Amino acid sequence: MTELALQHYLGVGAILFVIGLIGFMTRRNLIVMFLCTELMFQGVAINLIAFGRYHQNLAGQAFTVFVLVIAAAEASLALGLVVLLFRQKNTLDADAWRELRG
Amino acid sequence: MMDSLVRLLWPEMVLTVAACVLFLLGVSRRAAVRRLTAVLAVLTLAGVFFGLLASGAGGSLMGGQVVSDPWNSVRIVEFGYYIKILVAGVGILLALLAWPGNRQATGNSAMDVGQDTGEFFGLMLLSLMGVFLVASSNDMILMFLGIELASIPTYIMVAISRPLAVAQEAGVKYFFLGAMAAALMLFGFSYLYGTTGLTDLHRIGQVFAASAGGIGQAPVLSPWQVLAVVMLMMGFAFKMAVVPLHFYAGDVYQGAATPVTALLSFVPKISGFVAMIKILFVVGGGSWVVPQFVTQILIVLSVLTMCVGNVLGLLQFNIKRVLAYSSIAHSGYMLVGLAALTSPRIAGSDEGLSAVLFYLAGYGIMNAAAFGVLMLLPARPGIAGMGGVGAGGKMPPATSAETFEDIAGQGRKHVALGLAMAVACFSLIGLPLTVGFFGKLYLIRAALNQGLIALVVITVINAAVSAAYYLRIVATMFLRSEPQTQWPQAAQPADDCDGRGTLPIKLAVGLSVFGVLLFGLVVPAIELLSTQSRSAARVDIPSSVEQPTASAMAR
Repeated sequence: MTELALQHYLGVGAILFVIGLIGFMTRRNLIVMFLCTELMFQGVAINLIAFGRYHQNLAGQAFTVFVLVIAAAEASLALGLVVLLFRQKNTLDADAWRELRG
Repeated sequence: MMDSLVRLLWPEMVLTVAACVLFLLGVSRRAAVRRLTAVLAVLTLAGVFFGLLASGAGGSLMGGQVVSDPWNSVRIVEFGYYIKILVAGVGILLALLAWPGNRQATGNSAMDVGQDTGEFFGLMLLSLMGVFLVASSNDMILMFLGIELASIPTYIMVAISRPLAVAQEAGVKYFFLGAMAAALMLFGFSYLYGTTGLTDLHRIGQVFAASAGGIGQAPVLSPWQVLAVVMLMMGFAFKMAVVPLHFYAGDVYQGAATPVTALLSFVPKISGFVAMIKILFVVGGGSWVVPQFVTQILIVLSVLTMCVGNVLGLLQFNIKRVLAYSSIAHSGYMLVGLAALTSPRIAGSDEGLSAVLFYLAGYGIMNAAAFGVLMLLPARPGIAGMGGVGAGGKMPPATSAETFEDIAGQGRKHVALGLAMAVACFSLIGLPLTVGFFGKLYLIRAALNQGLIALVVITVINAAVSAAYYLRIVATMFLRSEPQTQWPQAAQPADDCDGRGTLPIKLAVGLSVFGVLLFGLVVPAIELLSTQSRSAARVDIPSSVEQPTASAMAR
């Protein structure tokens, strides 16, 4: 096991994804929660690139480019929304926003 | 080649160009120009709707052929065609519901030909375009982009829909959970690509078909492929508002302005269903014979979704929340159709899919009617959690009816609106003479033919439970009297039902009530819609060389 094989890359991708998922569920700061979703996206990007290399085709890299574009679009939207919320309550705590209740 | 691409994707191109024009017009300083954006949006959607109808071939929409581009990333069959016509048609109703010019009626200050009208309608067109892309896609990259394009504009629309803290809270909740669901879905896509080395869904279907023991048998999936399929289904479940990823629906639907809520309960849902149907077809290896675990997941999800949606719907005090849980329950009913579709007893029968397609059309129409009536009724001031922000408290929070107090007695005051709401609610219950009845009838018949007796019983019980809260809406409108509270003079809402700016909303309500009754009373119309949904129930034509299935030979 001296060389890096596919499963090592997949392991890193899966670990990033799971860290992101757990962080998203447990953290209450809006910016940290957003970073966690980014972490999930990057885990998937590592998966895609490793698979693309493994299959010797470029579809994985092409997919990654589009994933990054979507992640960038979501980043701009997330920061806009977070600024909007911060201006109103001066806090980034997700628990401060609970006017909608069932 | 350019020519054939234009022929393939002209609806998407028209919508994109129109959205860009609307964004440009939206920054104009003249209110008249900004008002024009709504007209342009409706005209564009009407043009796409009638253009798609006119380009159909004879009795069936496309004559059973497949059109694809040289790289096979776009592949349009009758299924996609039907979805596009349906989305454009319901899109017209949704655009009319969001008509600017009467802030009180739409419950939406951005719609007051204020600052964001052009952006709002541009985003709406882009969101509908996302569903179009999902319907035409044959490549997982394009499908993912289409799903995200249908969703991302809706996050913005929720947040800008009204200058209230609740709308922004709803926008943020929806966005964060949506991003999480998108990541789940992407993880599934990455393993689907990884285990096959392909992004072309049609060819992935062929790879899966090759793993089956023989013709008519389900493909055998590796554990990683099982993981991929489950993750994809979870991601789509969020878009469809299916339990266990339904929890955002109540909050988001309540926080958004009513026209946006009407859009949210249809556009992301249909994008999720279209993607789910396409992936099921791939997992079955180009047929509906899927591995057993997929059918079991679909049955469990549909039972959970129906029961949770209807039971929680009974407990709500806010009508928009009631309609949110009703929307969850309706996703559950449609999953019954998908469970019947993939059920192994009569393998390859696509009766379940045509039932789902019929139900999607009916749901789009009756849902627009219900939300349209809410929009025409004013809200009473002082609703909890409706504190105005952004306007410096000078402006009373503009909103349409939200609670049961708001609509109490309004049915007697405005008889036409009361009757429209009654028709919409009866259709949502599934009472005869409405489109909802035939939708449920087809779903139940498909499930019965597949021998899913327990599922049918649960569906019927749920329909009966749902009648309780729909009838509560109707009863509140007609039987309760209007609460006698002294309103402050400034907050006295104008009686918007007669306002000039509400004409398009009335038109939308009228059209959708007409649609509900047309497809529920007039036999030729029902036959037409069910014939179209039957012929649209072919997601792709399996390549006859690799796998000669029954449906290919019948053609």
